[in-house]
Amino acid sequence: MVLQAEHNFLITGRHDEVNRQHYISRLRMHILKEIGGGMRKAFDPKKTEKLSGGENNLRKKVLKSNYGKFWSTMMVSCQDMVWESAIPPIERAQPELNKRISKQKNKFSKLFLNPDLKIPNYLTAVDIHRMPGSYHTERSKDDASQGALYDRGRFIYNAGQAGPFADGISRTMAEYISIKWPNFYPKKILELGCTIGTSTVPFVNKFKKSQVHAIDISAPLLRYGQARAEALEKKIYFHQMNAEHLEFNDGEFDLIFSCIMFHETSRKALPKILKECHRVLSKKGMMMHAELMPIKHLKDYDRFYMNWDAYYNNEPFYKTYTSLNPSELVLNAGFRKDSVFEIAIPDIDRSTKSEFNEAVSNPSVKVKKTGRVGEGVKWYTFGAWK
Amino acid sequence: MNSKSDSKIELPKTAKGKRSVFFDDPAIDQLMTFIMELSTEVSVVYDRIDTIERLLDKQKTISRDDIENYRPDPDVEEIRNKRRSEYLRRVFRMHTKEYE
Repeated sequence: MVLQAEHNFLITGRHDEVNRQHYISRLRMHILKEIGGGMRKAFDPKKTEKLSGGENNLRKKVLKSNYGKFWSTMMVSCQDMVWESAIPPIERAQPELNKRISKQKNKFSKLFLNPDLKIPNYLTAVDIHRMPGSYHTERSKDDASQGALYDRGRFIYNAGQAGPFADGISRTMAEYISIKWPNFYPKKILELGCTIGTSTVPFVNKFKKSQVHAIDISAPLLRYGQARAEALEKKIYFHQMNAEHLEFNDGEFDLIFSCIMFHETSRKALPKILKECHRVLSKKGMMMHAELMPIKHLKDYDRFYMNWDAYYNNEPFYKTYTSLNPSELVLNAGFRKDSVFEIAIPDIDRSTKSEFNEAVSNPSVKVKKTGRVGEGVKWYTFGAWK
Repeated sequence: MNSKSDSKIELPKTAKGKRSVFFDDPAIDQLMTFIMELSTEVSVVYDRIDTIERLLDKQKTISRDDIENYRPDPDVEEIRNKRRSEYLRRVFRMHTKEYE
């Protein structure tokens, strides 16, 4: 297993705590690959004709079986165990961690907080991904605890599958853009929903001459994100901002991207965000968003499997999101029809150079696997040129 | 006054939102959490023993601090992960016959 890249503000834990976290990563992989693999074998309608009949029907049938019940309850318990295993060391590190973060001299990055920003209801209604406190909770004026929890917890959740910096999707996108469009060099880049900047850094690394901005609604994540960027010596401008109302000028950015953000917004917010992307993009600018694969591209079993999170992992907008047509939404936001794209990109760490280049020469949305772990994973993206 | 930022910070331990149950009797869902947590602690104890053995391979006596400060290198971590995966396959294996 890949170990998480350490930095000055990462809180892992004591000897036993770290081993507990590493075991929970393996436990999650076991539930997904071994138990989940067996469940697919038993219920994939391709093999058991009698179980076909649409995603809802399939879900009912799987969840009536012991296989579905055990898999599901273990998924939920394990999700909780991921966060629980990361929390005690972070509590112990406080309040010194907050002090260290607030007192450090920032040489590379800038942080612009907006204490008056209203956190949208879609982010406060439940704790997304069952992460206690979710993204936004603040316990003191300089609190960064949720950032520390997200950094360590997400790595345990991923079991290192997104690399030591947990940035696989973003590295995949940055690499794809640079190869697919070699003459496109964005001067100013914006990431939406950057959390702690893990997905921002690969764009800083790939486009060294660009000015990179990143927004999120959560002050605790941004405080931690800035500290992390400093520790990694990355120049990023962090802003506490709602993507529905970007406080940037028209045409200010050449590239806007996001990593698996839209399904955590809402049916009302999504079109507003895309309209804002259109407004702040420069002429010949481009936006690219990695997201969950729309349900229309998936077969019944994968629909059931992917949408499971919508029902049981505190993802209220997930199911509605996956039923939408991203290209249509992009068109409605003002983009030209001939500039809209949907591309599935092979994960950079789990594909060969020729597989990656094939996706550059012949872009398509066809996938065998998406959104979960394993060989041959591709990341679904949608976007458009202005 | 800066007292608020100086005080102890407690994080919530449970998530806001419904915790689904999947069995007709929710006690089985609860029992699975117990079993999974217990399996975790067995693995943690195993790793602690492994740390002690690895330290004793190199020195005659060890202290608690030696144990606490030990962090496996990637090779040892790889061995531990293999052991964890095998252990998981033994403990959490589904009866598949009824689906075959």
